[in-house]
Amino acid sequence: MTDLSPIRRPARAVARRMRLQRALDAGTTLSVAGLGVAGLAVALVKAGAAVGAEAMPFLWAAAALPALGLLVGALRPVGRLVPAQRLDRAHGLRSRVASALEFAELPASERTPFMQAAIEDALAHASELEPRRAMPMRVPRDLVAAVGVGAGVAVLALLEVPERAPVEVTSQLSPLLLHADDIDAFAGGLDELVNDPDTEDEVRDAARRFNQLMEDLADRRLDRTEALRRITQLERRIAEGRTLDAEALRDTLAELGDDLRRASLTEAASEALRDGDAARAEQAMRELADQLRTEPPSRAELERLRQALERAAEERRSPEEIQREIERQREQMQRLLQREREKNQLSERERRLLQRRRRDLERLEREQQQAQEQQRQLERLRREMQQAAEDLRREMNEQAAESLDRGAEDLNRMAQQQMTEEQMQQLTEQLRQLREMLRRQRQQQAQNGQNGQQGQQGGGRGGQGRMDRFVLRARGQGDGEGVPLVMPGGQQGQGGQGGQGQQGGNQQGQGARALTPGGQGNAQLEIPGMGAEREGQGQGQGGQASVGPGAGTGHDPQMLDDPTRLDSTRRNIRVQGEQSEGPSRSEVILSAADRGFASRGYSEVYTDYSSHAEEVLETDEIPPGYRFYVRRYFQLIRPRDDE
Amino acid sequence: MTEDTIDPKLLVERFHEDMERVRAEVGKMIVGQTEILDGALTCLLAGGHALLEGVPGLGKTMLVRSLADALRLQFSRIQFTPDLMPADILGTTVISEDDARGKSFEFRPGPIFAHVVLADEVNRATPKTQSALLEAMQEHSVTVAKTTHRLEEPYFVLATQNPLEMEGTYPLPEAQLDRFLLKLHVEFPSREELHQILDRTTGADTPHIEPALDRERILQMRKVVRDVAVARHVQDYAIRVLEATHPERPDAPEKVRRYVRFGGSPRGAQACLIGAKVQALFDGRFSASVDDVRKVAKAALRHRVILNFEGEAEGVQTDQVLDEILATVKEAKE
Repeated sequence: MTDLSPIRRPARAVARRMRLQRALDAGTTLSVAGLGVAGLAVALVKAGAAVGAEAMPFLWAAAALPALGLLVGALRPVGRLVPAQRLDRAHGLRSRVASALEFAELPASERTPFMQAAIEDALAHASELEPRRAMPMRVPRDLVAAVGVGAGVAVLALLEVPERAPVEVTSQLSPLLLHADDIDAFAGGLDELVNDPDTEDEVRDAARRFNQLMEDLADRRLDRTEALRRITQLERRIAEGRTLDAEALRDTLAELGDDLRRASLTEAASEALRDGDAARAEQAMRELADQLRTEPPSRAELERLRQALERAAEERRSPEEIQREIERQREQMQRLLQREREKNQLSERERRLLQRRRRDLERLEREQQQAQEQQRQLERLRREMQQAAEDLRREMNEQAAESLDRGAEDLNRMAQQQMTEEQMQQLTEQLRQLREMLRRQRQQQAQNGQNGQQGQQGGGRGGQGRMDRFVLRARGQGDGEGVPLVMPGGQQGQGGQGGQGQQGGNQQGQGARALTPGGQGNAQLEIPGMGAEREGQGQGQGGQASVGPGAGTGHDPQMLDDPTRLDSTRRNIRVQGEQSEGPSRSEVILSAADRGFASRGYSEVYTDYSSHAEEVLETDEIPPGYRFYVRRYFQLIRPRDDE
Repeated sequence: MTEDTIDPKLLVERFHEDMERVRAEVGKMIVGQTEILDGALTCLLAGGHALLEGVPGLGKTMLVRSLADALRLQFSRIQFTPDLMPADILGTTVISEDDARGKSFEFRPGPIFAHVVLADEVNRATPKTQSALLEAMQEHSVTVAKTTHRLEEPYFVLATQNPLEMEGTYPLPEAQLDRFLLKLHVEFPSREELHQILDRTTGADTPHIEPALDRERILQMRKVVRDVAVARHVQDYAIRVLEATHPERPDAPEKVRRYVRFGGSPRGAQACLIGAKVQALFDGRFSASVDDVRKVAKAALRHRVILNFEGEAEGVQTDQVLDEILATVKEAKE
């Protein structure tokens, strides 16, 4: 029996080395996965998503994976002849060892002499067999990856997660840039209120704040958000300071005036009250009290006065009624609010509605306070009137006069409040216009895609901005500088087009159109109300349509009149057109006049036009900005009382 | 002492020595071409025939002639031409007359009746003549006029063909190619070999080859070849290599699946294994190895693997396919 151990031993050694190499390879490969799992666990712990105990399963898995790889690699079977073949290859033995081992497995009887010789030949070469040569151990193929991942996990474990410190975000001020004309349009508008000694402190304070706001805007110290915040703050302050409802007070005073009209002695007071002028009414009441003291009227007149005062002292609507109405409205609002609150998951629209109703409720409460205050004042006035009537009935004229004086005092207080209210309204209007201007400016920027290029506003904002500034000046709030004026006119210079009279600094100027149809090109242009200060070049060139480049800054050097001549408020200009054939401008104007020009004063049709415009605004789809323009236009052309 | 009782070590040693002598004698005339010479000897000792393919002038004929001279065997050379008839190579029956028997038919053997036959440019003969030769190669006998004439062993045919001049040739059919144990490619000699060729052939002295082996010894050596042991894993490797030449096999390499139309026949595996045995003896070993199989695999299979149209159109060589097979098929699964 041939001893094959010299070749079997190295073959077994090769097999062991193969298993070891496989185990290391598999263990290293799975250790990469295990380290990945460990890294995940560490990351979870570091991120606070898991505590130590929760991360333990991950760590166990991370440790088990390489062990599993080692086990599988070590236990995986090696081919029967593979180690021998490796030995053959490594030593160049041409299958001697493998063949010998295979031949040796055959029964001796089946072995041929050549087989036996082959076995002996292999045994002869056994001394040179080196398992290390046949199976050299190498670095596991995934070792680098495992080391890399392990280092990464170690770094991750050593990393200290910094506490989240609130980062102070410094907001960069993006100043709101307004055109100088816009600033000028608002600046100084409330100086009268500030300087007037009769102005209530609250009003003066609000006016100062408004002026300060405009100064800040002019100095570019505010951005849009801050400007809007201050406008809102000021509006709220004004709203809180308003103690009475001017319209309601006016109505109530008018009712009192109607009652007092019955007596001739109170006619002046009645008229003042009906006009809603509390100050004039106070004066009339004082005069009546003086008259009662100095020149007592006849008994009949006194009787009529007493009856009138008694009637005026009667309350038309009790405070409880008003209170009940307010309460009813408030309850209704609260019911609505409650209903809204009961809904879960309010949509954005519902939330906005709820907020709006909450504001309505606050407004109602504020109005209620105003109404209560107003009611108390009226109550005092009525009591005085009642007292005066009682005194007159007892023929106690002196006491009646005193009661009327006290009533006059009440009216004085009301007059002051009324004035304050009007001033507050003025302030509110200014704030509203400023807010609207800011809104339009932003809209304009969004449309033009211009960021911070307010420098071009003068030219780019179009006619509306210019129109607003012009209108402000036309209402006496302008700065007296020239304004570019569009003068539509005929191409051939045959027609005359009425020009817009230029307004002086604080003059209440007005433009008028005087259209004289000219035959065959004759036209006469008459510009009444031409101020001493004139538009620059291009002004009044009837035949040329031109747009002024901007607000003028001085006098026309070709000005005909003496600028120091105070009585030079108007002049006539005659334009002589040339005789020529062709269509006459006058024909066009005549046809337009037939259809569109009204012979009635616009004050008579204003209401109809305004109502129609409102109706169209409500029914048609018009952008909100343009609705403002239309409403603003009708507000500006609203006929005044003296027109 | 018979061959069966002789120690294998001694047999292998003698075999090795004889082969060295033959190589040395042939080497007197032939420079280089050791692979061709080993291939031819392998065929001779394995009992097969060899097909030599190479361009003219590379010494194919000279190699065969030198080999025949070194083996002290009867040599005949047949130059195949299109007008060559089977009788021209097989022999014919003629009427002979002598005093004793009078007139009688007598078989005159053709040139095929030799131990070593060089069929030069075998692809130039008509298929009919080729078939006559190939039948003799397979059967080792010739039948003429209902009389079968045995060809004396060792019978060894070395056919040559020129791969360039294909005009007017009759390429051997696949079935007949299969009769050749090995197909050997004769390569162009190297520069050093060319120097030696010129030195030997242009000088005054002509080398003389002494016979190194006789017929009996060759037959003994053939028997020794058959006795060489082959382990199962070596045989298994030869089979797997053969299987890998079949494109329908799932483990066939990509090139085989793409370019091979038919794989090798079982004769291919036989050729591999018998060739491996001869190679083992050449190396003085008692058993064939996987490396021996690898060594003869290309020569044993290159004419048995038939390329498809795509392979031929793309100019793929069967050797490229076999190289990929040998690189793909592993010795054993680990």
